Amino acid sequence: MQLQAYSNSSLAAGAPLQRRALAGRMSVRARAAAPSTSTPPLSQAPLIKLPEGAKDLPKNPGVYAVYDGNTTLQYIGLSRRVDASIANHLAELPELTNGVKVLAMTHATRESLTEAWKHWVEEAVNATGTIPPGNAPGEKKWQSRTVKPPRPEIRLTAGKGTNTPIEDLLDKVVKDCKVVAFIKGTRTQPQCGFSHKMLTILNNHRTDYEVVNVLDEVHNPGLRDAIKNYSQWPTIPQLYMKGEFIGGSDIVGEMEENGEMKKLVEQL
Amino acid sequence: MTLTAEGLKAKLEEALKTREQGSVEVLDISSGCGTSFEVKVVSPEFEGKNLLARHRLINDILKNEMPHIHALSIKQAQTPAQAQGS
Repeated sequence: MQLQAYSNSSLAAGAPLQRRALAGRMSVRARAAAPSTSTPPLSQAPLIKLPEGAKDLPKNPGVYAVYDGNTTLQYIGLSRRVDASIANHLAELPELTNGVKVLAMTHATRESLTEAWKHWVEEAVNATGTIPPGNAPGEKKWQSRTVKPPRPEIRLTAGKGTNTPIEDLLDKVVKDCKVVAFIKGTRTQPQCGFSHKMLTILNNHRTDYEVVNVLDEVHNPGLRDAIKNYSQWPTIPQLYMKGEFIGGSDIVGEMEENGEMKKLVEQL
Repeated sequence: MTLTAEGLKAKLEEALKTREQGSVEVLDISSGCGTSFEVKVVSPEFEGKNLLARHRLINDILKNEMPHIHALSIKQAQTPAQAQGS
């Protein structure tokens, strides 16, 4: 079975959560949905244009084949959420993601997904005489989204006290970081709804940003009040870009809605 | 110090000159304990000011109350012309 050698992103290096979800499903539905012996052929699936067709993609598990602007097959993948996986490819490799063929499999098990994926890869290899470039051994660019560990929050001090005034440390962070959000809580566990909202907006734009937790009194002593004085702004969270105070949660939310945030992020 | 939506509203109306033109809405969203408010303001005073400056203006007017407010959410800060357009 030469096929084993092909890289299969979602199963081989997929996010652990996705794998667990698949495994969970498997135990319940185990043999109810046996691997289909008659996978509809890749050649007969309609090509959906991207990004236009992205919003109508199935939210189901399934197999998909990505094509570039010359309708050259780039990658065959499988996913528990086809629409989400393709949205990721669109965001990360827009120049290679111009069309997609999808085989949605509503009650797919891990086995039936792998089976269908193999059928499509085999068919592609037979038709073109070569492995889709994105599935070639060692090729990682279609899988880059998998589990980047979240960057730790910035700490203004090492936690052992400091002779430098907190205002100076805070000023340095604001001036040194292109984008920095002072929030209550951490990146993965913001402790208030407003902070959460601000991070969600930054995440949506795939912004590279730093986070400082104002509740971390050990490493950021006095920051909670210092930051309010610094910007003359009474509330937290606070967002800064290129050394400039942008606003709090309401302002960032409104700028998101009227498109200003998109512009700001693009100008970074 | 007990804060009420009416009290905040009166203060904003006075400072932002919305009696003749514009409007102020203050909603107590804390179910009565006076710590969380939602504010919507349409005021001629916002003319020529960006969003940050408008929010700063509102925060400044409520400077004395702010320490007692847990969450003040400014949902709208527009000029009368903008409010008509939307």
